[in-house]
Amino acid sequence: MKMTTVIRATLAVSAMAVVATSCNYDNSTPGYTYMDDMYTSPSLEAYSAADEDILKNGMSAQKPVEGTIPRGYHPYEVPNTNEGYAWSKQHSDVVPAGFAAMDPAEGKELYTIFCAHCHGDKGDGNGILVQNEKILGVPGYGSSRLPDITPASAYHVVMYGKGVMGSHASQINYDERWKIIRYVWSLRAEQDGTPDIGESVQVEEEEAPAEEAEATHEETEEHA
Amino acid sequence: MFRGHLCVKFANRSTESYHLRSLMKNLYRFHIRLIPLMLSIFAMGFAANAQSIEGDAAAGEKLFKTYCASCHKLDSKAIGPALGGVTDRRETDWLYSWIKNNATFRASGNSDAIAIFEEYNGSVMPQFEYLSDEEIGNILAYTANPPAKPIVVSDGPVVAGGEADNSGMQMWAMIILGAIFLVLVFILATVRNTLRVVKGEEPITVVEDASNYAKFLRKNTGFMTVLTIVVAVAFLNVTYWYLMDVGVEGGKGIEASYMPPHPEPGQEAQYGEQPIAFSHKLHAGENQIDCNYCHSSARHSKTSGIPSANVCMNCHMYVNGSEITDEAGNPKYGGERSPEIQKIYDAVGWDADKLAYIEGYEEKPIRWVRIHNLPDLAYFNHAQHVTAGQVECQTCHGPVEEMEVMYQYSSLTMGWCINCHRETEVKVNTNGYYEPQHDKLVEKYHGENITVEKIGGLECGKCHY
Repeated sequence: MKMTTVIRATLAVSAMAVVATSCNYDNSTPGYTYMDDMYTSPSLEAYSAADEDILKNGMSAQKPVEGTIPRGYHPYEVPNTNEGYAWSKQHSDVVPAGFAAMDPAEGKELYTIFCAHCHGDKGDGNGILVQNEKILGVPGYGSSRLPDITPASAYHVVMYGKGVMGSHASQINYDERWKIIRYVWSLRAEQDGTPDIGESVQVEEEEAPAEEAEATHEETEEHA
Repeated sequence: MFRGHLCVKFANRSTESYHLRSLMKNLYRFHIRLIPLMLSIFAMGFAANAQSIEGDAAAGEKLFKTYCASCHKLDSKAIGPALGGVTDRRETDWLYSWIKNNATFRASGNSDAIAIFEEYNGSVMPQFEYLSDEEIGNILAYTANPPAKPIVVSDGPVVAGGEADNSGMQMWAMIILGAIFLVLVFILATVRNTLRVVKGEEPITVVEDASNYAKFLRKNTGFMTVLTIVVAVAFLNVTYWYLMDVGVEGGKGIEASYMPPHPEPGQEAQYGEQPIAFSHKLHAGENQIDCNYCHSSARHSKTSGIPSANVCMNCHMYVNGSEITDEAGNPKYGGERSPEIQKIYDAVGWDADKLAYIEGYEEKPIRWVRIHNLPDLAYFNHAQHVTAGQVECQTCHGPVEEMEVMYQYSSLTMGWCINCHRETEVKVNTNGYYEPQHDKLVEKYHGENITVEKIGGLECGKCHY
């Protein structure tokens, strides 16, 4: 009689111990799922792991075959050299027609996302990273610091980077690059205290004969 | 006590350095006043040297950071050579000519100028003709004699882990209380047995006690029934919430919450460890980099995009973590590169000493641990929410800018999705692209709130197909 009580007590205590220690939240694993077939895709999703024997490094996101171009791709063939940069300052072939007539405000949001943390909200080269002394020597857009830049050379810098600035071509697409550069040009005018290039375009259009003005307008739409 | 002691120590040090600095400043002013005197005393040969070294180093520091620091550091090579003590290595006139217009200087056939240009692979230094002689003198004075950095005393809370330790403390308190309880039971039983012995009765062991209670319970069937029902309901309740939680990997959507709780304020989430100790708090919080800068495909694509390492390199070509300081203001990594940032360099093959990509390097992709994982049975599109819907990232992902370690903030259950679609109003005024459709909606539901539900946000086929 006495023996069975002891066994019972031991059993009860060990059962309690099992219950107490089984409450283990392992936060590093996702845990169980119902009907796993509906949770995990049999086809490869973005970033899903793949078989290392089939895909290099077991990554589903492989580099496209060399020479592949994405839809809406605009070639930029100026080389990433000092000569290429100098060339871009003298030639404006890459600048889309109607650049000056674009609305600078369209690029403001994009500028805030991609440029403002270094170049500053006002384009004075005093963004938050400069204030925090993470990246120093960031130029403002005013003519005193950057006397000879052109929209085409700015595009060159966005594509390839310059100095400590890296290439932003992978993050911003063609249209967005020009929207940003257009906004940068309005900031440059603001820094210099000169009128925005858009204003002179409007004046020209008013002065030009009606037919020509229409032609410019059509051209703008085509490129937009 | 200890912290108070520390503060006093810091305060002493800071006043000390303050005295030192003001002394230095006074010396400086005295020096500057001396310059014209010196110039008149010493003949012309000395003039050029005196001009360069006697500049205002404090003003020079500001100029250096504005114009030079993007390519030059004082103590190490960057895009251009290290400039600390450059006045010892080059003639002052040479430096002035180089800084003002290095292109014409090189064209004039100066062999040193051409040599340094070629040593740095023909990186073109901009011309600084707009800097005055005095400004250049200040910059050179700074490179020759940079003012010592004042020791930073942080007033903020030093111990962030204090609250984190609490949970451990609580567990120990529970164990100690339990032990005290057991000792009390033992003492009471002993006292009762002693009393029984005094009264001339048999002492009762704990086991006999327990069987007595069991007998009492067995007699009271009514009480037993109620007890059984209560226990059964509690058990079913726990089971129900446990089953509801299966497949839910985060969030606080389910009230009973048998899931990893959100970290308390000041406590760090201990979730899956990432290959690089990346801190969203540092990047998106302190340095205020927009979410869309790194996750740039969220605006255009179904997935938000884990940034590829070239996006990291946009900043980390320059920022290598050597500037990070601890709470006392001393360099955290002893002025060396952060080992975490070195992991990016190892992944992409960046030679941080030569500041160039290693040719033919086999890149080693970084295997980030996935935190958010929506089941395949549901369709979700980031661009639809971020660009068209203009939903803030934080609405679903929570205060990412405060997260040292990323965790899943929302439960990502269907109930959670549906609830948001019922409550969120469509932004009819701020989205020009959809204006015609929005105008029609406003006309149709005049006055009523136009929620996502009203534009089909609850249709099964929107997410399941």
